[in-house]
Order: sequence, then C-alpha cells, then structure tokens
Amino acid sequence: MLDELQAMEREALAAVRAAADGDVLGAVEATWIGRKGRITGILRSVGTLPAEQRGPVGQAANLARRAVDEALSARRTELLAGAEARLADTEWVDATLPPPAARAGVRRTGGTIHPITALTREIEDVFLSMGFDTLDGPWVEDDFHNFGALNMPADHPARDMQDTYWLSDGNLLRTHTSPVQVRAMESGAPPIRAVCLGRVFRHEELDATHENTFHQIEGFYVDRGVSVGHMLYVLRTLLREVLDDDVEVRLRPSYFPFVEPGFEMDVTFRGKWMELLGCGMVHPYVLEQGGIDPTVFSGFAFGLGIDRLVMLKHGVEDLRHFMDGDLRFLRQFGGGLEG
Amino acid sequence: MKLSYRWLSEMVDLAETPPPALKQLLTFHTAEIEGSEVLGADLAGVVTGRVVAVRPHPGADRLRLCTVQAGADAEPREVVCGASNVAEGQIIAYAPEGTTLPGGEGEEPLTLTAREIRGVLSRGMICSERELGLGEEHGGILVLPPDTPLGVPLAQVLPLGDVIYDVENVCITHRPDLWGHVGWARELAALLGQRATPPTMAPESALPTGGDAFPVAIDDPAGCRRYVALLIEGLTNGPSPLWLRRRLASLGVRSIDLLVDLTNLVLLEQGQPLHAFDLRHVRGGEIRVRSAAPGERMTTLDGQERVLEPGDLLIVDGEGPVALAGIMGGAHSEVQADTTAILLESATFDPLRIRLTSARLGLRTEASARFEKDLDPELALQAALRFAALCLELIPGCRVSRPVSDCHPRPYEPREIALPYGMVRRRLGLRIGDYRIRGILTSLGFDAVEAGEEIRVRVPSWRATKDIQRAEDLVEEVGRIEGYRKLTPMAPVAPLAPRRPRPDRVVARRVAAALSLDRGYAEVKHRSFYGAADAATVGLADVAHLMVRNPTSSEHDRLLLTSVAGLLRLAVSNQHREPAGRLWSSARLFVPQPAGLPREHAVVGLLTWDRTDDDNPTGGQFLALLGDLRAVGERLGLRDVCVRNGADALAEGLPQPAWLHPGRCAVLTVGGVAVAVAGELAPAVVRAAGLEGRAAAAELLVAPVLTALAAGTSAYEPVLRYPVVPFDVAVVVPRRTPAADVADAMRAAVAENVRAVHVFDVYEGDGIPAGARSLALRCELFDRERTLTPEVADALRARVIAALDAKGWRVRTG
Repeated sequence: MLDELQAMEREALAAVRAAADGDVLGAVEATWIGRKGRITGILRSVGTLPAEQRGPVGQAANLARRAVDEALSARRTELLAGAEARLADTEWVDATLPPPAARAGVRRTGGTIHPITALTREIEDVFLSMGFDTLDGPWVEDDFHNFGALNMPADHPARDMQDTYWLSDGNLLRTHTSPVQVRAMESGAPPIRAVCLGRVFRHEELDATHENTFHQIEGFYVDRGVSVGHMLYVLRTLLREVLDDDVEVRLRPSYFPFVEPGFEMDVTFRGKWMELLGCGMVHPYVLEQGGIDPTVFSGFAFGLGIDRLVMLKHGVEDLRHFMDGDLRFLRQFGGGLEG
Repeated sequence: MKLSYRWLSEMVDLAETPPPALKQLLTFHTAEIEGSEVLGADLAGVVTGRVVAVRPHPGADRLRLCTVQAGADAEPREVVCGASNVAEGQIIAYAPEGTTLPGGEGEEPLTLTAREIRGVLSRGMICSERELGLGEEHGGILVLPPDTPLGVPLAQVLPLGDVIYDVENVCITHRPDLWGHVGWARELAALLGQRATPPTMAPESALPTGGDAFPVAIDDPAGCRRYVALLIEGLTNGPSPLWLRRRLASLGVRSIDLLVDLTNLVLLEQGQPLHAFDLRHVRGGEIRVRSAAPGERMTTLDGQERVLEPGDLLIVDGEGPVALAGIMGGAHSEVQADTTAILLESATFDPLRIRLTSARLGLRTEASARFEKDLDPELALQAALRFAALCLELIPGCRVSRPVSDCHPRPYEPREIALPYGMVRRRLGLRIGDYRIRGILTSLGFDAVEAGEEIRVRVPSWRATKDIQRAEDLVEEVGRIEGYRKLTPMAPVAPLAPRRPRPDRVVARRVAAALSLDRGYAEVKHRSFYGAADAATVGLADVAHLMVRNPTSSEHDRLLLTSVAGLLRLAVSNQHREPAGRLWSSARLFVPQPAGLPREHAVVGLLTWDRTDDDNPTGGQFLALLGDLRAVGERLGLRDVCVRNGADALAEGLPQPAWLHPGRCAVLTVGGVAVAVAGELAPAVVRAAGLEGRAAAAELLVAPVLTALAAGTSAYEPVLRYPVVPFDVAVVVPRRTPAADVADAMRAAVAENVRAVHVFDVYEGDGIPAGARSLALRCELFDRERTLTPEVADALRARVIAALDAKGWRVRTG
C-alpha cells in the first residue's frame, strides 16, 4: 500500500508539472486529490485497513495529498506569471495604428472640472485683469523659504501654528504659499504684483473639518507707497468679483510673523460677517530677506484658502469631498466651463 | 488666555462699556476673542436664606433636618441636609424645588424636586460650592457672611454674573504683556482714554533695608535675565477666602492653599509666574540659577523623575536642584499646610531655553507658556512686590524678613525708535494728525518726543522684549488703536502693463478643456503622498521615495512618483457605484536628490476603468486613451505627436512605468522628446488595486510640452497647386511589426514626393500566414512644381515597393 501511494504521488506530481494551463491543472486536481480522487480514495479507505496499517498509511496518504496540493498551487502561480509575461505577446496591440475612425473625433459629455480648479481660475482671471502676475513655487520647500525668511527663525513659537510635515531629506512640505513671496522677491525687483495659486500641507488627522492638503492663493504687491488702504481695495474688488457685488470687508488685528501690521479679514456673505483670510503689510524683515529695501518699498500680502471659499460659496458640508474623487460630488460642478 | 470682565473693571472704569461692548472693543483693536461665557448665569432661582432650626433626622444619624427661611416674610421650608458644618443661624444658599443646578465639573445639571429622604419630605437643597458649580469645595455647605441680605438671588451677593472671555492665543503670541490682566487693563485704558488703576504694591516701608539680602546668584546669565527673591515669614497657610477661590475657579485654576493660590493670582493678574519655596527646604542658605549637567536628574512636583541635559535651567540651593526653572517646582521644596516662611521666586528666564526644555520633556505649564513669550524683566520685581502686598493684607502677622534679593545683570535701557509722521499716514493709507499719533502712543505707555517731521519714541519695557522693534511696529499700534474701520479702500496707482497667464497655466487650462470638455473626464484631486501598500500595487515597492518623517498615517508616508497611484485609489473608491469612469488629475511627482530640494515634475495623469472590459479585452480602452491624449495634444497646439510602442520612464529619476501592460503601452513624443506614456494597466496591477475588468492610464509630463510650445514656430507650407496621386499597397509583415515602421519605410523611399501615408486596414486570418498580418496603406504622392505624370508616379511607386521588399516584407499591390 505504501509503495502504491509513493507511485501515485510521483505520477500526480509529474502530471502537475506537465499541465500547460489552468484547465488541465483542474483535471489533475480532480483525478488525484478531488472528492473522487485516487489519493482521496485511499485516505477514505484507511478505516477498513487492519489496525497496524492504519497509522502509517493514513500518514503517508496525507503527506502525499499535501505534496500534490502544494505542487498544484505552485504550478498555478507559475502559469499565471507565465501568462502575464506572455501578455506582451498574446495581448499585443499596435499603438501606432491610427485610432479607429469611430472613436477618433468623438466628443464625450459628462466631464467635470474640480470646483477648486474652477474657483482658482476665476480668482486668477480677476488678478490677471488687474495686472498681477501668476507664479508658482515648489511644493517641497526648505526651512529658509518656508520659515526663516518669513521671520520665523528656528524655535520661533509661531512655528507651533504651522503643523509641518517634515521629509527624509530635511526639507518640508510647504505649509503656506508665502515662500513664493520670498522667491519672487529674490528673483525680481519692485514693482511686484503677483499671485501664487497652489497646494499647501498641514500635519493634521483627517475628519470632516480637518484636511492635510489645502489649496491657497497668496497675493502680494510690493512697490513704493503701498498702504493698507490699497490692500483693502484689492481684496474687496476680488471678493466682489468672486462672491457677490455688494460684499463688504473689514479688518481685525491679528498676528502673523511675516506681516506687520497683521490682520484677519472678515467679509459679509449672505448677511453675516465671516472670517475669511489672513493678510497684512509685508514685514520689513521679509522684504530685507528678499533683497528689497524696506525704507523705500512697502507691500501687502494675503493668503486665502480656496477650499474654504468653495465651501462658503457652494455650501459644501464636508472638507473630505475635495480629495476623495467621488463622482457624485464632482458631477455637480460640471457646468459653466470655458475652453 | 482667559480674561475676567469683573477683574478688568477693578482696574479700568467699565461703567460705559458693558461686556458685549468690551468684546467688540478688544476684537477690533487688540486680539480676537474666541468666546465669552457668563458665570453663574445658570443659577437663577438660588436665593439666600437663614437656617432657623437644625434638628436630628429621625431616620438617619448623619442627616440633619433644617428649617430654612428665605427672607423675613417667606414661608419656612424643611430641608434635609447631610453636611456636617450646617448650624443654626447661618446664612446659606438655598435652592428651592424647581431650581436647576449646574453641578460640578463633569456632572449633569440637576433639577430639584420635593422628595422624601428617609421618610421626611425635603423641599429643596442647601447648596455647597460644588453643587453651585462655583468650585471644587464640597466638604460642606457654602456659608455666607452674617450681614448678607436674605431672600435675594445669590447672584446679587456673590461675584456671579462675571463674564469670562477666551482670547485667541495665537493673536497674542507676540504680546508677552497681555498674558496677565494688568496688561489688558493698560490696553483698555488706552482705548477708552482713561488711566488704569494698577493693583497696590507692597510699600517701601514694608521692605527691610537693614541686614543682608538672601544670597542669590545667576551662574547662567544667558538663561536667566533677572532673579528676584523675597523672604516672607510669620505666615499661616490654609484654605483661601471665598473671593480668591472664586476668582481662580472662574479662570479655570484649581485652589490649592492660600500661598499657592496667591502665586497663581499674581500670575493671572500680572502675567508673571511666581514660585514659593518653603524656606525650611531651601538648604545651604543660597539659591543659584545654572544649566543642568549632562544626565542630571531631578523629581518635579508631579512626582516624575526628569533626566536633564545641558541647557535645561535649574534652580538649585546649597545641595541640589529645587526647581526646573520656569517650568515646574521640585517635589520636596513646595509649600505645605504648616509652612510659615517662604522664599518667593520671581524671575525672568530665556524664552528659547524654556521652550526647548518644555518641548523636550513634553511638559507645558502656565509658567512655561508665559516665559516662552519673552517676559519683561521689569515685571519680576513688580510681581514680587504685589505678592508681598497680598500677603500683608491677607495674613495678619506676616512680614518681609530680609531685603529684596535682586539679581538683574542688565537693567532695561529704553529702546528709541524714530517714527516719521508721514510714514504712519502712508503705510496705513489714513488721514491722521500728528497730535493724534503722538496721543495714541503716549496712551499706550510710549514716551513720544517730537523732533520735526518725526517723533522719537521710547518703548516701555513691557513692550520691548519681543514686540516693538522698529517703526513698522509703531505703525501697527497707531492703526489698531485708531481703529482699522477708519481705513478706506483705495485703488493703487500703477503703470498699465499687459499681463498674460504663464505658459504652464495656459497648458493647465488647455489640458482641462481637452479632457473635461471634449473627452468626458472628471478632474479629481488626490493627495501628494501615499503609502507602502499603494506603492507596491503599482510595482514601486522597492523604489526609493522621498519619505515623510512624521506621517499622520502609514498610508501617507511617501511622496508620489506617479499620479497613477493616486488616481487608482480614487477609481477603486468609485467603482462600486460606477461600472466605468474616466479621471484626470494635475499632480506633482517628487524625485529625491542628493542635496537641496527634490526635483518636482508637474504631470497630468489620466485613468479609465471599465468593469465590463473583461471577457474579450481587445485593448479598446488603451486605444481610446491614446485618442484622448492626441486630443490633448491638439488642444495644446502640439504638432507632430508621434506614438511608438513600449514604455519608458519620462524623465531621469522617474520610475519605469512597471504598472503598464507590457503589450499595450506606448510613448508619445514631440520632436523626439517623450512627453507621455500611456497604456492599459497590467492585469496584475488591476487585480492588486481591487479593480474589476481592465483599466488604462497615462501620464503626461508638462515640462517638455512647455519646451515644445515655446519652440513652436509656424509650420506653414504653401497650399498645393497640383493634384495628389494616391496608390494603395498591402504589406504582409510579422505580427508585431508596428504599422508606423512600415509607413516610415515607405515615406523614406520617396521622401521628396510623399505627402502622407495612412494605414486603412489591418487583416489577420485566412490567406495570411500565422504570426503575420496584412496592413493596407495608402500612399499619397505629389510634386510641388508640376503635375505628376503617370510615368513618374509609377517610378515612385516602384521605389516604395522596392523599399518594402528590401525589408523582407511581402507586398500585395492592388
């Protein structure tokens, strides 16, 4: 009986090795270790054997069955890998053929633009029309541009306000778009009128009101004689364009290390004052870091969270919608697109 | 930072400034007030009453049966009371049935009903402080002074109804002077045109002049700017009076005992942390301030042993550490119930040192929070004298026993700043007179001396440490006190100059137009980071990423190297609702560099999925995706977009697109430079991601597109004046010979005279050998100078066919 089992195992393993596809493997499995398989049969018959044979035969049959089973799954993986490797040949498609005429020029409806992109453009257009440049900067920043040049030296308590993602190379994910101010000043001379639109990151656990990825507009204007009054005018103009014709704005004192004086701006929206953005006159230290003489030039700067503005404008209830790609959310923002 | 309206009103006349007006005033001139709360507003119904009789409770030894009369004409009520301190004749706070009590911290409010307690009907309750929500004291009932009027609401006799404001701390990070009530009173006085009445200080006469001061030395002058020590003897410690406990409780500070409570009161009032050492435990008759030795240990009064490093500041006596300076006292030197003599410390520590130690030990206290703000060293002496005044007032028999020890290596030299009047007006855009500018600064405690067109401003010590450094800082002072609401929007004047969106913004818009408007894609935003599992899904498990050192989740611990990973995740979350879909995103990829910033690549990612594309996956999604990319190219205005089979990294440092199907992938090039890779996703990737059916993805690199567009000049050619002569040819080629190679070979043969070569049919099957396919192509011949004669056309055609033959391809002309 034991010899017979050994022979059966050898035969079964050979069949597994020889199987060239999944169907054959299935048949091999059924023949040997399936419900009516030959090794299964021996296992079933163990009970009928004389007592002294039951132990050794049962053990050997179990071992044989396990060996075949393992060989089957190994071969299955092998065949799959082979099939994947052969895909290059079996499923080859010639990309250099012209696209099928029926598909080529088809215009499909139902596309959508992300509401943050849409509002960003609207704001960008307002600023372009007022003579501002649009700028962009790296999303990964160094300590100097994100903090140091913005009057937040190492261990400045204000850094607590900025929950930062630090990276393995010693850099960081920018916590605001303000580093672009510094880069703009380093590479240009006043008058500078520019906005930077981009992504920023804060070290936050995610929930309905906390995100780790935001979108910001940073605006700044550096020239001779720039005043808080000028800032009020530019921001009110922007908000009237983007929100409502009769928006009013007001300033409250606040503190940001990179401006002096610093403000929070509130805006009337649907009859209520809402806190909207932080702004201020560019701190003379920041101007100096950007190579601009603060005794000659002054400037204002502001940072506006686009996510928040979209929420305000459309009544979006959950911050997470912006990043979760849910088409039921995105389809509501399909209309009103321009080329 | 919490502020008490009542406390402020003791220093500034607020008769004309009710609590809501005060909130407005501070919000628009000083700092944001996050919220305000009226204390004891919920104690309506609780009245004062007299305990006219106390009898034992018939059913319980520990309970008493009291008769309470709330006013001369009021009906006496039977109340069961369990407190041991209740006695006949006391005036107490009585809550009749129907009253709702707030309860202590963490307890639910309780509405009283008349109820039987051990067989006796109790009508209401004699209240303890805790039941009134006034404090933690619950050893017994609250006993009011004997001259308290009866039958009046409790709010009239206790300092209830105070309004507590919660100041947004971020707004006063730069204002160390606003971390105590005195600073706010000063601020309010300036706003209201008053002079603040500061709390009384211990008079000179109370300070001994004879004898030696207690020895104090600063061994680390960089860490400690001033150290004031005051010895007070003849003290009795014990519970604090009700008003003091109330005041602390209303600002969220727990009452400990009188001496500790007084240090806390001064902290809240002056903003200066104090520490009282029991003089019995100050060993060796001296106090020193020094930096810790490496590995030095001390146990703070919370019972924790702290391991210290050089830089941590210690207060030591003759034998060893007694306090972790500016953060927390030591375990063995604190005042006790039987303390009769103390050494009071009032010091100024270096903000950065305190911040570093408290951050490293994870130990933030009211004291450390204030020292971090950079306190005014002048405040140290003032706060010590204020503490002494309170002791002398509240503890009969105590005295300051030694002259004040005051280590103050560098007394304040007032900083002087020149402020041109014109600068104030120009910077704010505000018409404001010289007189008013000077007046505002003076009201804030600045010393302003006129010098022609400017003023020379001397900064008071309490504004000098952090806040007021240069003229711009003074502009803010004038602006906020005058009120920003007086500013009017003013259009800036600037030369007219054209502005256009930058090229990358133009590209972004054109891409969006092509995909979202023309091709039905939804624009999505995905995160810029992902985790090990998602990286493995796209075959990037072993590729070096730029890692996040402090990720909020393991799913967000590395920066993207392909947008496909981000898109794939969003496709998976949509697929149970959407059998098929198309997404695109604008993303950045981050390639680590040996030094400096990483290389950032702006890309556009595309991804489509189709659950039904399963049984006979012909590659339709891939071809459709290629069509969409061509549409993007057209919208962008890219000419001569070429497609070749295969896949490659788009730029140095970007990974091989291992996620693509090896037989269904392509690179798009412009002028020989790769701009995009596209393909079906490898079935293994689709499976690993958890998608069903097949999916396709592409990535377009923005930089080479910008280069191509910048270089692009017009490629106009004169319109042809002579007819085009087409001919068709069928070529049998090995199956995996790209059609483009065949067309290229034909074009090359008659380069001068070929206008276009198109493939118009592909055939495999009967009549074509296995492993081969037949391509039908149309070749359009022309000559710019003349009409092609049949003879010339035939010759050209022969050259084309010869070229194909030379490649070993069988030509079937038709």
